[in-house]
Amino acid sequence: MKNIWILFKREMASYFYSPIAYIMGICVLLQMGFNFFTYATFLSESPSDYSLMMWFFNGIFTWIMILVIPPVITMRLFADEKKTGTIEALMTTPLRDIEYVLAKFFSAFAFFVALWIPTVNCVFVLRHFAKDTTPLNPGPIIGGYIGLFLVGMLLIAIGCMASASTRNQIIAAIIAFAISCVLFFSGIYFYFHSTDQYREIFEYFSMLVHMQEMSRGAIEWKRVVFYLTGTIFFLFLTHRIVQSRQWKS
Amino acid sequence: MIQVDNLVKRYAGFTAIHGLTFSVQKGEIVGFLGPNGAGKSTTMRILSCFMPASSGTAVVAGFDIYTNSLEVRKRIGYMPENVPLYPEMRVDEYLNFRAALKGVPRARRRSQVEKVSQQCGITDVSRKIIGHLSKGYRQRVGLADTLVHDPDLIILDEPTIGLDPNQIRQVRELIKELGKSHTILLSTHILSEVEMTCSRVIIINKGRIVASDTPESLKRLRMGGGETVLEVKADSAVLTREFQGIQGVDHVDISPLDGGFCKLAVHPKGDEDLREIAYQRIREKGWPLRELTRRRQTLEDVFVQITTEDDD
Repeated sequence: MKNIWILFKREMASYFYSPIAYIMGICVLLQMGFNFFTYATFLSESPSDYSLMMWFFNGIFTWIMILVIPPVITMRLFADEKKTGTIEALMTTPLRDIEYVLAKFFSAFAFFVALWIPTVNCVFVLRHFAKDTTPLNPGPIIGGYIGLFLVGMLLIAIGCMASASTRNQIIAAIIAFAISCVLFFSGIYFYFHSTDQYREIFEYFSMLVHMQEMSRGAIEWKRVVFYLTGTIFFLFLTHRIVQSRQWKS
Repeated sequence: MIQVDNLVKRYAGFTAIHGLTFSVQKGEIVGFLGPNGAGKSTTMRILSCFMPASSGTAVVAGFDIYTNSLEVRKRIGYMPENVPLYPEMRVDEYLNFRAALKGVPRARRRSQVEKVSQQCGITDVSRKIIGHLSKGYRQRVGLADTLVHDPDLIILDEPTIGLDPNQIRQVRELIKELGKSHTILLSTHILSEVEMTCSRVIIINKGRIVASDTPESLKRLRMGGGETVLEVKADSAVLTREFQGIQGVDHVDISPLDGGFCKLAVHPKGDEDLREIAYQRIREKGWPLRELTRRRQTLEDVFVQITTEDDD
């Protein structure tokens, strides 16, 4: 446990040593601010069945960000250590493989959360300027962010696995993005199979459906379980890949 | 400190080391010598628990490297080849991080980092970013890292590669200094380094140990006595005749030099020193003499001989 914390601190710091943290932070804020503004303007002109939070979390731009950010922030994690050889210095200290994997995963996840937290401001900015005095309904906001972080968690675990399986960062990002896209687009099939028996299966996989439901404020256990098991599965694979170094040939 | 028994490492398609067996006692500085691809780095990686051997066992600091690798790793300091460091960190940050990872208690971390920084001469760069350091400093940061938790055993993979002669001298002094209180296993290409720092040499070639002894006895054992080299002003045919006649001389190589001088290399049959008798002969004849030395065998000769012998 102590080692995870030591390594976590270093990984977090290394995000902020490089410009990557600031560039991504600015991108997310700009994009989501623009996003929020567009939907707020749109809704003020033409009422819709969808709430502002549902638009906010399910717009095309949001999904592009959700799918692109995890590969970018995970590609470096394992691949770079292998390429520069620092893995050799690291794994000859009393550090367990599982601690190594978890520290990397948690640091990427914490960074992902840190990127999105400032976007909460949009809601308060809107209320301020709209002089909205009705009590805030926290359900959709909390639900939306929980949904966002659950999806992010799974995609980051996929990114970890991709990064552990190669020493080239670009290849890691491409693998992670490809797997994420397959998962995402298989969820879209839900909309094409509106009648047949596969509908339920696709619904279970569909990130789009999950996000819509959660940004409505409805958090169901089966969705949480889906993301948790998915994350554990990909972290398990990551651990096995890291451990394969220790297999006797 | 290290007890290696029949260690084998197979990669897909080839065998990097074939059944290494050796041991290193506490307090020794052992040099690991061999041409590129001989299996030096592989052996060191196995001993430092980075990867497992295909078969065979090794006990380091009293623990088996495979079944008890965490205990082994607590007790060794390993510096990989080319010294991988995190370029974005500052020197003291890095050393603190490494000390924490190696289980140095928080209360002792700062003093420990200061101590090794001083030992390795990097106190003046402790606030610098590692990526901006010169190769020599980076090497020393790597060394400081291996020492930071006061390990029983230090394993250094080519600690002086890529350094300039001054830096090599400094690192060598440091290793000698460390050898007083630690057991050290180091690999290198630079043979003079081994001669100067190590109490014992293990030469490996193609994954097998071909020699293991002190540098001095290795030289004696493998080469016999060195030849005596003279520069004398006389006719070469006369010289050859004269020196062939001395008892104990195996053969004489002769080559003409400027100003009527000849260079002779007189090879003894055994381990004898021919300097005295050669001087007497020359004095009897009254030949002008401008050089008389006995060529000392270097470990390089032994190394080349041993590692090429095997190729045939």
